[in-house]
Order: sequence, then structure tokens, then C-alpha cells
Amino acid sequence: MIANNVSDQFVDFTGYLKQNGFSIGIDQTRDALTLLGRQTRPDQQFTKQTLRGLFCSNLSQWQQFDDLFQQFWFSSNLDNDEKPHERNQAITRKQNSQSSGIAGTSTDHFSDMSTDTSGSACGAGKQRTIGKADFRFLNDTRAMREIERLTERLALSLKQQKSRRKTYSNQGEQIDIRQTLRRNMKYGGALITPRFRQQLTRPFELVILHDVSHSMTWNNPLLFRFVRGLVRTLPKTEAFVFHTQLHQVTTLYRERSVKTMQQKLEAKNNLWLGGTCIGESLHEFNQRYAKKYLNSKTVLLIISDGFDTDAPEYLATQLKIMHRQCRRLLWLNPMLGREHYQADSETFNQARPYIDSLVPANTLDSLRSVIQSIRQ
Amino acid sequence: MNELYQQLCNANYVADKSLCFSLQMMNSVNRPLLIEGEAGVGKTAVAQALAKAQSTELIRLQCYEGLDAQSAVYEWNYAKQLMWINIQQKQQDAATLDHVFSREFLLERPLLKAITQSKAPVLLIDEIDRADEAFEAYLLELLSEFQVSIPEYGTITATTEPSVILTSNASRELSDALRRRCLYHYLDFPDKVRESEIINASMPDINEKLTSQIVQFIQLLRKQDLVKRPGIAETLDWSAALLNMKVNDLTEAVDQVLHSLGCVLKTSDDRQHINQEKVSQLLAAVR
Repeated sequence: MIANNVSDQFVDFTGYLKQNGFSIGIDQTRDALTLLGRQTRPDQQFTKQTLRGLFCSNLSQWQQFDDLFQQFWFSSNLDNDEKPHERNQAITRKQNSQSSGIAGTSTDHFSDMSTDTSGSACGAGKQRTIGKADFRFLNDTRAMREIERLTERLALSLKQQKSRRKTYSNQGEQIDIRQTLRRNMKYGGALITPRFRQQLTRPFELVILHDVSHSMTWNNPLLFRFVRGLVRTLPKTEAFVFHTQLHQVTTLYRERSVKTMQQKLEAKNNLWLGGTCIGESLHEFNQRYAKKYLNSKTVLLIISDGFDTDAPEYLATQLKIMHRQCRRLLWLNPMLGREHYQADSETFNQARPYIDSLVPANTLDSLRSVIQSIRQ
Repeated sequence: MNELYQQLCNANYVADKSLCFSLQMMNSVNRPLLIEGEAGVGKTAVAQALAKAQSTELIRLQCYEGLDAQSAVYEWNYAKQLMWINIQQKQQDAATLDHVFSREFLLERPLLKAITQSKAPVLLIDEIDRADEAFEAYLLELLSEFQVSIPEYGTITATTEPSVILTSNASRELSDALRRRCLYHYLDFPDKVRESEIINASMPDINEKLTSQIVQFIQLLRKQDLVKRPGIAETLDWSAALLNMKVNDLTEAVDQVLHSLGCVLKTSDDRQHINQEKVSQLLAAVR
């Protein structure tokens, strides 16, 4: 057995790892103590390798472990040390505060979302149909209603998704021999009550990350309605908005009254005060929500024009993490269908490998295509 | 540990110290080992080599979406059950129903087979990230207790506990519950020395200079912005191809290098990216 004071230090070390996001159970701790106790002369290398294999459960922990081990056992003033991830976050925040970005302080956002018809259409009336009209020219009630109705109608087709897996039932197209035989065993093998297999259906899982920064101002009133339509139709949808921070707004979108939703969103007015830190916002999502909401069946929708004050590499890293965890990653860019628009090539070059589909979202027709893309 | 290293070498697998350590720890604490890493770094080969090194059977379960207990754990032999019932129909008694759910009618699939061997095998659960979450949950009982529960029959406990290796390409996040039950090892691309040893172990006929050049070229290639970075399997394929083309010096065989790059570059984007000019640049950096 290893000495008590070492055991105490060891417990402190597991506590330190837990503070840094490691998930260590009693079994692992017991195995680690057993293994270390078996060694007559455990050296640093042996101890580190043993604990790393036992305590790490993913690549980021694997990469982080050496530093944490070194800091804990060989740093004299651990308490004063800033933890690596905190230091990184601090640097990012500092960079953000220094960068001016495309930031704005638009608090008049909801004037665009207003149901007041007086501001109707600088150009909507000139369009033959509103389906092809750019969102910049659509801010009247009719367009708002149309987009939400359209979205809800289109989203209905996503409501139930057929799975490759099969389920058993008393009726269906395909007899399941195994279940039928099992059920009829009590009749001595005579096939009296057949069992069938049919395709399992499950609710469509969607996560939406919506950029509400200043540069998206013209597009957002209609895109809000689009997201609201999806959230209200598909029960397993989660919605988030971001600019320099991330906020979960699913419950707000589920409000029956648009007016109430609007009031509650206005109460979160600080949402529209910042610039755009897409990378940092996605990082926050990965840290706090990804594990809960992303899985191999989830379609992830990012709605943004891609103007970012974070480094493109940082955004790419976050997208890579997300892409690994979801079924498909779609990026809706309302600027894509417009003339003279030039995507921030560096940002999109870095991000492109992790985006399954980059689609325009500047007209009702383009949103219709988006629904088709989600369904694929 | 040196002994294990040597045994793996004899099985044509050149492991690094850290991997030997994890494998040894797996046997010490009887826990499954979860190996993650990019495609082609030799995750599956670890299990094959370990089985060879321990002179035991390798039982492999390839995971895929929709994999269920009937394909992975057990299945009843219904045809046999029916025949038996028909034979016994005239003299049917109360014991008949119980009898058809006995071991005689049980078909063992890889997981059940792995825990019922007289000599502990190596069980490879390959690409677990491709299986559904539901199947992952089903595995938990096997991985922690080494037993399988069959509703009609009861619980079958392992006669011998297999060495379990799970591999994942990290295409999706595995559950915490599964990770907690496993030891973890991240298998990275090998360094120059180890990659040279791997080539030499697989192809003893290859000359030292060519080995060194191939390794340098591949290591430089991995630093390029590629969609799919070449793994060890690709290095070995390319080495074999070059050997077949009787290449002795990479720098003097630009054409052969260009023609054989299909062994290491597996997407059209990568093939376009590594064009003749780029190949010349890389070859210039190779000594």
C-alpha cells in the first residue's frame, strides 16, 4: 500500500484534475492506487503514464494531462497559477475587447421586427413574388407572416424522421420471423399471432445558432421568424443567439404570442450590443451545450454572414469539434445570394472543410431550399 | 514492458513505449482499452498484433450504424427450435419450452463468443463510434462485468476475461459512461524513428536510404494542408509500390513518385494540392 500522505496528495491531484474538467470515478482512483502501490520504485514517467491512461477519456484531456501533472506535482505555487484554459479565455477576451470588429450598438433591432405596416417595403411591392425578394426589402407584416407560415409548413415535413432502425409492432409490412416464432412458441410453434417490423420514426433533432450581431441587422427580422417557425414545429429543436456571447433562447421562441416573444427578447437587450465573435461563441457552445444537444442525429444550423473578429483558425477549430459531433453542419449565409458580396475568404477557407453545406439565406425561396437541405 | 515490446515486434508491430504501457495496464487492471486516433495510425493492428503476441484468438466485431444485439451478442437458432418442437410435438411435456431456450439452441455472436472461450482471447470492437448510442449502452454490462444477460436464459458470466480493445476514429463523441469504463490511449502518427522501424519490420529487403527518404517525405506530407493525412498503412503501401518499381533513391525517381502518389493521397483535392511542383519541393527537402 502507498503511504497515507501520498494518498492524500493523490486525492488532491484527482480533485485538481476534476477542476480542470476531468471526470474521475472511484473505480479509476482505486485502480490508480492499486497500480502505483504495486511498484516498489515508481518513477515520474511510470506514474504519469499510469495516471494518464486511467484518467484521460478524450484527446483534449490526453493533451492537457502532461501540463496539469507537471503543474500539480512540480509547481511550488499552484494556487497562484492561472489555469491554462482560463489563461486562454482571458487572452481571447482581451483580443476581443481590443478589436473593433464590425461591431455596432444597435438596440433598435426590434423596430425592424415590428408588426407595424407603416414601414412597409422599400421595394417589396415591386417584386413579382415575395419568394424571390431579398430580405433587405422585406420588412412588412405580410412578409413576416408569410415566412413563418412557410417555415412551419415546410418544417412539418421534417417532424418525423425515419430511422434505419426497425421496431416491432402488431401490424406492418414485413413479418419479423424471430419475434413471431418467439411469441408463438406457447402454441407449440404454430404461427397464430404474427409480429411485424417497421421503420422506427423519431423526432427531428435540430440545433440553431443564430448570429444577431450588427452586420446581420437587415436580415434578422425575417430570419427570427424562420427560426421561430422551426422551433415551434419541431419539438426537439434548440435555438441559440450569439454576437460576442451565446444565449439560449429556445423557450422564448416557443412563446405563443409574437408580441410576448418580442418583449422577452427585448428584455435581453444586451444581446444586440456587441460585435461578432463567432469563434468564441461557438467555443462557449462546445463547452456548455454540445454534449447535451449534439449527437449523431442532430443537424446543426449556423446562421451568420461570417464576419468575425476572432482568428479564422480558432473558428475552424470550433467547427471541427462541432462537425464531429453532429450529423450535418449547415451554414446559412444571408449575404451569399447578393451582388458585390465577397465572403471573408480566409474565414471561409479555414471553415469550409467542416461545413457540409454552405447555403444562401437571403430570400424566401432560398429558405425553402434550406429546408430541403436539412431534410437530406 | 520490454518483453511485451519484443512480443509485439515479433508480431510485426512496432509499438512505442506509451502504447506498451497502456497495453500492460489493460492486463493489470482488467479494463478495456479505448484507442482513438486518426484513420491509418494502426489502431486495429494493435489488437491483431496483441493476439499474435499472446498466441490467442482474435475475435473482431466491426461496428456500424444499426448494429444490434442479435448481430453482436447472441441469437436463438429458430429453425432448430422449430424442428425440435415438431419432433417433440406428440410427446410434448412442460419441459419442452424450457429446453428450446437452452445453450443447445443459442447461436454465439462475437461478444458472447469472446467471454465463453477456454483461453482468454483478444476482443476487438472496431470503430465503436460508428455504432448507435443504444448499442454503446448495451456494451456497458459486458465491459464492466464481463457478462451478458439473455432474458430467456439468464446471465452468462465470462469463463475467461478477454483483453478488450475498442477503437474509434472520433467521428462522434462517445458517451461518458463508456469512456469511464475504459482506459484511454491516443495513438498519434509515429515519429521518424518509429516509422522507419515499422517499414523495416514489414519490408526487411528495403534499403536504409530509401526508408529514410520515404519517412521524411511522408512526414513532410503530413504537415501539408491535406483532407486526409497519410497513415502508416499508406506509408507501407507506398514503400511496397516503390520497391516494386525498383526505386532506390527517391530524389532520382520523380516520375515514379508522382505516379505512385495514389498510394498515399486518397482524395482528389489532396491529389490536386500535391502537384508536380509541390512534389519537387518536398523531394528537395528530402535528403
